[in-house]
Amino acid sequence: MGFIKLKDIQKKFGFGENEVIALNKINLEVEKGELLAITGKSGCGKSTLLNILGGLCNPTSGEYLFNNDNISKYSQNKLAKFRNDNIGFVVQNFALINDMTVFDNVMLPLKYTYKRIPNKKEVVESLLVKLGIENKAKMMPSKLSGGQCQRVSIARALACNPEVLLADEPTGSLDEETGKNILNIFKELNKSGMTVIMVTHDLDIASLCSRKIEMKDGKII
Amino acid sequence: MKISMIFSGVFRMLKKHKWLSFLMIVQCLFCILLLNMIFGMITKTEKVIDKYSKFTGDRFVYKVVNNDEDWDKYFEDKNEDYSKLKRFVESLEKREDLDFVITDDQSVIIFAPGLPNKFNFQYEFNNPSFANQDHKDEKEVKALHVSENFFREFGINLSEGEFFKKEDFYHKEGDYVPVILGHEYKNIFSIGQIIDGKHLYEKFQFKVIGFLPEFTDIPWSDLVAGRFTSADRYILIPAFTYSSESNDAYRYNQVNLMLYSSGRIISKLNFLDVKGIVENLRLKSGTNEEYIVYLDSDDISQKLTMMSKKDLSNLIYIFVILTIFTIVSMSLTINGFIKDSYYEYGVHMVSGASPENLVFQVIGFTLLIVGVPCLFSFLLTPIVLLYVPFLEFFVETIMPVTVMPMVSLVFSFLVFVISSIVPLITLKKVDVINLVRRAQ
Repeated sequence: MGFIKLKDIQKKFGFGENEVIALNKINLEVEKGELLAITGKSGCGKSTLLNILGGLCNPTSGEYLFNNDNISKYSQNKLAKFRNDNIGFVVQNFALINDMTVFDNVMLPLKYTYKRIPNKKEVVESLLVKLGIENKAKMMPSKLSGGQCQRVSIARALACNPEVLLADEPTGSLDEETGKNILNIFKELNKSGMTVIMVTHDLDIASLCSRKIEMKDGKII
Repeated sequence: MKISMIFSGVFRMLKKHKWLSFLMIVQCLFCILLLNMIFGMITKTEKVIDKYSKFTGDRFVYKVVNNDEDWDKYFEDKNEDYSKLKRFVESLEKREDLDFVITDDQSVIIFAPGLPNKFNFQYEFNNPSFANQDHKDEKEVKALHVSENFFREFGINLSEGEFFKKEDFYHKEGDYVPVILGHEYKNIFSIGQIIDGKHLYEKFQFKVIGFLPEFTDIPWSDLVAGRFTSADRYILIPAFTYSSESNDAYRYNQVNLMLYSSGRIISKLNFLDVKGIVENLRLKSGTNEEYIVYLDSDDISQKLTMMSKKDLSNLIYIFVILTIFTIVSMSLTINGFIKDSYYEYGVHMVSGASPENLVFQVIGFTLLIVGVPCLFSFLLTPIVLLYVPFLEFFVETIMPVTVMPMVSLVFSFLVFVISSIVPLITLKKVDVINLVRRAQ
């Protein structure tokens, strides 16, 4: 039985003539500790699949089992808790809040968490050290390079110690060298037991993952 | 739902949009203060109308109006016009089918070291006038010159002392002028005390013979027709005739008579009948119509209601327009803040915030914008209504203390609810995916 299991997942947007089927009867199983790459051309439904996996939205139909828990019918508030407890997000443009320091950006998920974390400040500091940006803690994201911003984004994704890390084109805005460094971080995290699911259209990056699935027109091919 | 994050979100919104937030708070504060003023006026108007109807009953109140401009001939030495006008006033006073009451608002000067400025003439108009800048102990204070029937006609009692006697209205040189003081003088003067003073540049010695009870209202003669004002800071003086052969006394009587002749007539008779009587007496006395111009046709209580209603409706128009503007501008501004924060909301949701968290942040922010002025209004309304002299003049009787905060609270709650509708609809319409796409 997979750690993550999608059964006949369908996601539609719009109504009537404007209806778009973004995901069409997706079936997918992901084992714990896997490093999975989802590839495909733009508009094939990769990001929508990632959004459903991350609990950012519910599927229109089908079942999403996470650790045997059916979360496809969760309310928005329950999904928020699910995201905070289990999922870390890393996105292409880093999604950092520019008028908050690096430290505060990483602290953000810890402020929303219901987990008992005694010393949140120490957690943030150790993550900054782990990602090599401890000297940037008091800086604003606008003063950082792309690679540094992505490290901050990863640190934030790891703040609540999630079981799954979801990355949407994590190297899309980075140069080749920096991109490689970021990928190495993902590999290290995966080696330590974290499940990593990465959306990319770059086949070279996908080939570095333990498994690769390709999508086309909302289906896995 | 994390309460700490709601506070932190509200604080961030406030910090990010501090000037617009400040303007919204000020706008709300204006609305609340205006509303409290309106309520104050309604209470006051009802109270005043009640007072009027108490003493007038089924009688009407009219005012004899004299001309302000053509008095040069009257003041010529030994002119007959003075005698004629005196005859006119005396004949009015003798009538049994009407009551002629003198209520003449004229300042007097008293020598009173350390007397607070609030007793100054026109202090309530923010125009403290000192009698003599070189002698600051001489104060030009508020005084009402009244006829003997004033107390009976207006149902005014004393808290202690005695009313004016008939002989008090004929003053002889060297006699004391008896005075009845408003309640606030009680801590300063006592019965039997003699106060040196001046009126129309004649020196007098005033003797305190009584005090009015607190919150006594007296009709106001000149400044705003038909209004009552508080007598607490007034000195009541008999509208006396100066019995002396001196030229100064003659001139003094001349001026006073001119002022006293524009008194009030209280009668059951209708306007045309009273006008006929006044006209007849004027002709009999030989008084020139240049002096007595006309009899004010409106019953004062009716006029008072009309005036108050007019003031009130103007204020209500301003209040309604300002409130609509405030609600619309608040809704649109907060809506703008939300749209401006889409990206940030996306980041928060990716980090574990629920839609409920964001909704409560917006509700908290709106509550703050409305709540702060509401709290301030508890403090500011009494200050504005009681201590801003000009407003005190009109609304010196404040509505009950419990009513004002309730009015502020209910109004603030309504503004909060209505202003929150559009922002919350906007927030409800936005789904997480859209926010995250923006975040990306």
